[in-house]
Amino acid sequence: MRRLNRYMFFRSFLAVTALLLIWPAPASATGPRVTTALFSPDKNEIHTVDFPPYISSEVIDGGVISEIINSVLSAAEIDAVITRHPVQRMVRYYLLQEHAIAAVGRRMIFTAEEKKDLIFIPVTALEEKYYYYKPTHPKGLNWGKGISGFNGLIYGSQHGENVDEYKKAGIQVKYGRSMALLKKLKRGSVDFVALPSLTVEWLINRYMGEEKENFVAMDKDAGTEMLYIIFNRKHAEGTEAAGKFKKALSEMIADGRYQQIIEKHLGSGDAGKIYLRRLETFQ
Amino acid sequence: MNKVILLFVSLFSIAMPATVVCAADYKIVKPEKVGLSSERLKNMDRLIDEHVSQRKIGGAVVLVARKGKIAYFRPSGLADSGKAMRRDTIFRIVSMTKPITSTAIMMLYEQGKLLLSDPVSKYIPEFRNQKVLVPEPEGSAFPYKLEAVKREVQIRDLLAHTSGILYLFLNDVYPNPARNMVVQMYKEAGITDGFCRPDEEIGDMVKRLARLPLYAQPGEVWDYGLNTDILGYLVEVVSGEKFDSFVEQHIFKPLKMKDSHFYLPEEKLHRLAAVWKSDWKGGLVRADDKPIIDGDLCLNPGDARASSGKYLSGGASVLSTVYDYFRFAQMYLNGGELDGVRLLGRKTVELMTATNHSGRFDAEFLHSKGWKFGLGFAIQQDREHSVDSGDAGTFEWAGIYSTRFSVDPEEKKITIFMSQTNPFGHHFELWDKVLVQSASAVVD
Repeated sequence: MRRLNRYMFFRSFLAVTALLLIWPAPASATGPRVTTALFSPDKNEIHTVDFPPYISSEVIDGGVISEIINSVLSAAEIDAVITRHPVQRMVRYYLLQEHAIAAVGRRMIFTAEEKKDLIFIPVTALEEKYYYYKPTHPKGLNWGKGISGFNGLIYGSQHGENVDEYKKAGIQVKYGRSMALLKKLKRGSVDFVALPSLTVEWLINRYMGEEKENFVAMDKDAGTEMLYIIFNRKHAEGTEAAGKFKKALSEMIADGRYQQIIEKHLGSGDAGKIYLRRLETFQ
Repeated sequence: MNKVILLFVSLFSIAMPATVVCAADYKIVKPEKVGLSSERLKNMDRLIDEHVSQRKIGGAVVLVARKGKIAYFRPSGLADSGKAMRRDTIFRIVSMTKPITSTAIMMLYEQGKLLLSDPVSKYIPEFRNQKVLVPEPEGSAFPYKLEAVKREVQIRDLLAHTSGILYLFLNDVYPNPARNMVVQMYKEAGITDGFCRPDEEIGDMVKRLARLPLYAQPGEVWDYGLNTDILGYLVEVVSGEKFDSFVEQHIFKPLKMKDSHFYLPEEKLHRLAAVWKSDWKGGLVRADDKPIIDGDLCLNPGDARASSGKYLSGGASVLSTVYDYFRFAQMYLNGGELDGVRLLGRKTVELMTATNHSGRFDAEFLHSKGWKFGLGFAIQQDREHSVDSGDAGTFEWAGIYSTRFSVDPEEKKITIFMSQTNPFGHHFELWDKVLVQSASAVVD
C-alpha cells in the first residue's frame, strides 16, 4: 500500500509541476513576520475541511498537505494559518461570505460568477480507488461489465462529485463524508465508494482496525482528484498572496523540498508509519 | 403480543401487596411508617395497571421512598414477551444518565480539578474561537452568518444546558431556520444524539462538535442538547480515567449501584427490559433490536445488548434499575452521602439544585413554565406557574424510553418510574399522574 501511495504522490508531483509551469507568476512582496492570528483569530485564516491523513490534527505536522501548505506559506512569507472545519459548508462560508484569504479543498463546486473572484492553485493530485465491503458482497464486485454491471446498486459519494454517470447507469447515489461512507459500506446502506486509498487505510486503521480485511479495493482506479488552494480576490491580500504562493510552491517542487515532505510522511520502513500515529489525548 | 400472558401478569401484579419484600434484600417499610397512606397508594396501582391492561405500556416499575425508606416498590406488566416485570429489571435510562455525569463533574470540581466558570476550551482546545450561527433574512446571498461568541462556553453552561449546543431530535419538536441549519451541519459532520450508539469514541465526536457553530450565544438560551456528552469526555480529560471507569469506581461502586452499567455484562442480559412500541390506543408491539428512526430521532433498543463498545455517552449510555437509581437519588436527598459514603458536599448539592443557573430561561422541554435547570436537573422554581404536584425545590429528569425520577427535598420523598416504551411523547401525562399519586399519598 505504501509503495502505491508513493507512486501516486509521484504522479501528483508531476501533475502539480505541469500545472504550475503554465501558471503566471506575480510580483512578490515582503509580508509581516508575526502572524496576525496570534492577536486576532479571524484574520488571515486558510479554511479547509478535515481530510485525514492529508489534513488532520491527529497526524504529525497536520498531515502531508498541511505541512506542504505551511512550508509554502512560510517560504512565501504569507501571514496565514490553516483552520480546519468538520464540514465543507463552513469552508465555503468563510471563503465566499467572509472573504477569507484562501481555502483548501477538493470537489468544491462554485458558480461561474464565484469563480471570477477565485484563484485556483493545485497543490496535489489524489488518486482514488473504488472499495466495497466483503461481507456484503462475498463474491466480490468488479468492473468486468463496466459501470452497467453496477445497475441497481448504491454508490456512496462525497458532496461535490459529479455522479451523473452513476445515475445514468441505474445506480442510486447516497452522500456522506469519508468516514460516514465507510460506515455506510459496513452497514450495507451503500455498495461501493470511491476514496483516496491513503484515506481509507488511515480511517480503517484508526476506527475499524479489526475490519481491515473486509474493505476491499476494486480492480479499477476511480480517477484523480485535484486538491487546490483557492485564493480569494475579494480579500485585500488574496491576489498578491496567490502569486507568492504559486512561486514558492514551484521553487519547493524544483529544489526537492516538496518531495522531502512527502517522503517524511510516506517514507519507507516502519519509521514512515509515524505520520499515521494518532495523537492520543490520554493513554 | 400475547394478550393472555399480559392479562395474567397484570392480574398477578395487582394481587401482589405493595409492601411485600421480594427475594432480593430490598428493605421496604409500610407506607404509614413514613407518613404515606397504603390506601392512597392503591391509586398508583390502579393508574399503572390501567395503562398495562389498556396496552398503552408493556409494563413498569414504580418506587416511592420517603425519609430514606422505600415504601412502595411495585413491578407491573411485562418486561419482555412472556417475561414479567421485576423489581430488578434493567432499563435503558438514557437521559437519566445526565445527573450521574453531572455528579462526576461536580466531584472533580470539589477536588479542585476544575471550576464551573472555566471555559471548556481550557481542557478541550477545539472549543476555542467558537461561532454562533445567525440566520440571514430570506433571499440573502448566504443563508446565515457566523458571529463570534461574546464569551466562551463554560462548564456551567454544559451542566445547565445554556451553551447553545443542540440535540438533533429536537429539530422536529422546535423547528426554526437557525436550529435547522445547525442540525444540518451536525448531520454533515456525523454528529448524532448518541441514542443510536455511534462506532467511535466520545472524544472524536466532541472534537468535531466543538468546531461547529452554536445555535445561540452561550448563556443566552436554555436548549436541551449534547452538553452532558461533552461533560463525559471532560471527565476523561480532567481525571485521566476513561469515563465509564471513573463513574463505575467513584459513583456506582461506592453507592452500591450493582446493576448500573454503560455496557451490560452478558450474565445480566436476561434482566434487560424490552422496548415496546405503543400508539397509546391499545396498539402495543415489542420493538425488535433495529434502530427506530423518526425524523431526526434515532433510537436503537438493540444497543443495550452490546457487552462492549467504544461510545460512552454522558447524556444517554447508562443502563440501570429502579433500585440503583433510588440509591443515587437518595444520596442527593441526603445532601451528598448515602450509608456513610459521601460523594458530594452539602453545599455542592445546594449549588446544583439552585434555580438561578439558567437566568430568565425556563427548562420547558420536560416541564412548562416555572421550572429551571440547575447543574444536572430540572428544578421546580415556584408555585406561581401551573404545576400538578411537588414542592418548589423538587428536582427531576427523565429518559426517552419513558423513565422519570423526582426528588422532593421538602417532603424527603423520591419517586421513580421506569418503563421502556416508544414513542415517549405520550408519557408526559402518565409521568405527571405518577407524581400526583406519589404526592397524594402523603398524609402526615
